[in-house]
Amino acid sequence: MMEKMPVFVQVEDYRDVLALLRAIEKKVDDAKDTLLRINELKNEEDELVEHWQNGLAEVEKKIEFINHSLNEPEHF
Amino acid sequence: MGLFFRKKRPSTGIPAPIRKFGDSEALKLPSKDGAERVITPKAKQFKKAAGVEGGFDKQLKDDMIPMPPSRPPRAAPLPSRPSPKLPDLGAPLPDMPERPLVSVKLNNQDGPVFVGMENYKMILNEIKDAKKELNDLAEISRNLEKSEFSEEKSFGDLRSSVKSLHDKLLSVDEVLFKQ
Repeated sequence: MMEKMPVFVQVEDYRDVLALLRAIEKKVDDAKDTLLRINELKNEEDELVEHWQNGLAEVEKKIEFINHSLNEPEHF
Repeated sequence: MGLFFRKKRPSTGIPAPIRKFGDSEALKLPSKDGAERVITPKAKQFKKAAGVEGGFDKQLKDDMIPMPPSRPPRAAPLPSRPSPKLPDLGAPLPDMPERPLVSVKLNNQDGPVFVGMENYKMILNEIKDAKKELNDLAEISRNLEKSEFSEEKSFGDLRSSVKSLHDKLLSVDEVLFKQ
């Protein structure tokens, strides 16, 4: 009978713990918002890097064309 | 003796009523000076008899169990909060496992609060796991800072390379088309 009796642990400053939990929840929400913003910035950054990569490939092609034109002028 | 005739009862010594059916005389109550005692209780006596000497409001307040306004009742589920909007980071977040509700025992408004032993152990384990997760997140943050620093350095190198390339292209242009 006694073994099935529930045992309780006294919690002091219960309201402080609840307030801390609410503050932690708010911080977690803030962290989620920040992570969302970081994710947006990262997507924008990836887009710009891809743009850079395309531009650099275009420049490389033009340099190669110029190089080819100067080294083998008989083809033109 | 027919059906409609009653049997005469023997006399019991009780006097016959003064008023008879059909008497038109008004009912007269005995005066205060009479031998019969008339009780005229006051409102205070009524309240005393009813056990509400301090007033009904006070008695109602005393009878009510004080409950804190911001605290949910004992063993009641916590009010469900609206779920926050999660960022879509590609992979869905894992669902939280099913856990029993924490039973909290309140003695009174300002008294001690008790939490069940099993729930207490569970809370301690959760706090330990949360601390471990936070340590992992701090490590990830440090790695990200290093990565960001490397990325900044790579962007700087790329910027200087493109500037050098631009300068050299201008030189070639000058040599080829201005001579």
